Amino acid sequence: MTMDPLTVTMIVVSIGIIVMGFPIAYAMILCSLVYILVNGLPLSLLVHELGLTLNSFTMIAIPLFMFAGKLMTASGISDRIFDFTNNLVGRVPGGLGHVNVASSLVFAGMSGSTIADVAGLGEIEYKAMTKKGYDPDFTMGVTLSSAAIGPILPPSLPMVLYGVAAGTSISGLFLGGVLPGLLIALSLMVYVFFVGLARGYRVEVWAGWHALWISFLRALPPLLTPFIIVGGMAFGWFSPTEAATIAVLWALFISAIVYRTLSARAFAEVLRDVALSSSRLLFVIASAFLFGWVATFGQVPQMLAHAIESNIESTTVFLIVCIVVNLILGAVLENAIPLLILAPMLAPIAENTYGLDPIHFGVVMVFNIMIGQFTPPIGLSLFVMRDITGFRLGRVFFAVLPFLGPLLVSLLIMAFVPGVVTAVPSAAGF
Amino acid sequence: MKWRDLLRQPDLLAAMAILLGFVIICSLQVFLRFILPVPLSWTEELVSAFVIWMTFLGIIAVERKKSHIRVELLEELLPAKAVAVLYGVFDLAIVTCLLAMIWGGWETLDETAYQRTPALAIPLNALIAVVPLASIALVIIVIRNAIRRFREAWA
Repeated sequence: MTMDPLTVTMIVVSIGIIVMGFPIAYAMILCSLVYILVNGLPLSLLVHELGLTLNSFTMIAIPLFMFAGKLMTASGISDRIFDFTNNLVGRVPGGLGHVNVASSLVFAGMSGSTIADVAGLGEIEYKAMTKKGYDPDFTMGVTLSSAAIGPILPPSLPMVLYGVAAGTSISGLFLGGVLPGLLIALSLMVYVFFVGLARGYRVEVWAGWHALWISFLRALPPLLTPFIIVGGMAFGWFSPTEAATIAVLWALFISAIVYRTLSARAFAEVLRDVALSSSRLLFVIASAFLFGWVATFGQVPQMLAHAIESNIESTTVFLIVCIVVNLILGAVLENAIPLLILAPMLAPIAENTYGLDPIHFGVVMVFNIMIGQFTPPIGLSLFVMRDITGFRLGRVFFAVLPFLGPLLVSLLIMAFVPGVVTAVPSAAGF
Repeated sequence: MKWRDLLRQPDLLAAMAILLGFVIICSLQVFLRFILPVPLSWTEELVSAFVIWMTFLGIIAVERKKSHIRVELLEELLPAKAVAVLYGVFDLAIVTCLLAMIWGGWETLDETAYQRTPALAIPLNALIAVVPLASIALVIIVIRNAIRRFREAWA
């Protein structure tokens, strides 16, 4: 089977113009438009695919999860979480490095993306650590890499996107992310432990059980969030959108009634930020679905399946190839593209030809693509970190580079020990 | 955030109102389903219908702020004039896309003229209409931003 030259050209051109700075959503619309015109298809297809993709109840989970995360950040919970984890793990060698990872773990249970975690915790973590004499590069590295837990521990925006595109159960993916989220935290803490010992970073003074208990109570409301979401989904009580709604109501309850830190102005600002960032993301999603439709029309999935099946026999090799390709694509492109177009094409191949569990494969792909957040040219979280610290992008990247080691180790464990991903969803009957 | 700035952006204000509507209607649905056992049939349909409106109204504000998701590598490496020229070419391509969306939207309105959503009978055209309408506003903003970028580069 040969590749249709036009389809191949379109894919190459779209990647090329995206790297040159063409807005991602328009790049996919432009290439789809050329394909539609050349093949004499009606233009109404363009609008139909763009518009009606969005006509879905599951899509609402995206703005709602963003809303919940932003509300929590605006209500000043970051400080409370940091205090609590500081009392909990501050005295372990590596000190604030562990506090940083543990804070990200707690934060990940409320937010669904890496960017949200870096934006929500990055500044307070960076200031706290550099003030205590931690190396800025080590600080940036641990802050960024621990934010990778955000899209893996539920709730997770990328998992909603992947679930919609690949037709995999979103609740199943969420539950599948529970143990991997803890695994990533553990692997980073092991790394931080040894670096901390080697560099002799000062550890925090143990403040005593009473202080730990008080800070625990102060941080308890946000700590409960993942349990509410995961519990409700594990028992099949609510759909992803309902879980997102409950997360918003819980965040409103915490910020307006428990902590009383949410003003009308802050609420309006959250509303504005979420309206902007969610429509920006939904526009990219709609255009990716359009592009995916065009690729399907050009028989790309079939050719891909054929090429893979005739060349790769073992499941192990297949997984390694998927991981390498997605690492590269996740690095070069905005992660919505591999997440919404390539990974969903790979999912049926993984399941039918190589017998992989769809939830296992999905969680591995999501984490795999998210690691691309930390590599130039498009790693959005690098830009957030640059804005917080004022260092050049290159320095931020080299700071996070050694931390990719523990992240990759976690990825390989998830990929080749499926039980790490599937244990929780299987127990819940997915 | 100044309230006056917000009032000058009716598109963003409308997108925010729709988002608030999502929160309220979804909460209502959760409340009625879990507290009172009366599941509503129309909430999902109504909320889904408005995602497209929120997205395309929000995109107008995103375009105005020039905050689309894009790779900013060349923008940092090249001199301002070269960026203005490169982005000018990009803007031409974007305007082409938007014109196709206006034209295609017009054709779609013809095709789906009699289709309605199942429970609430919302005409499909009422949903899709936002795509060509927003595209018209987007064309104006893209051109205006391009002219500004050229002026600033050569100022």
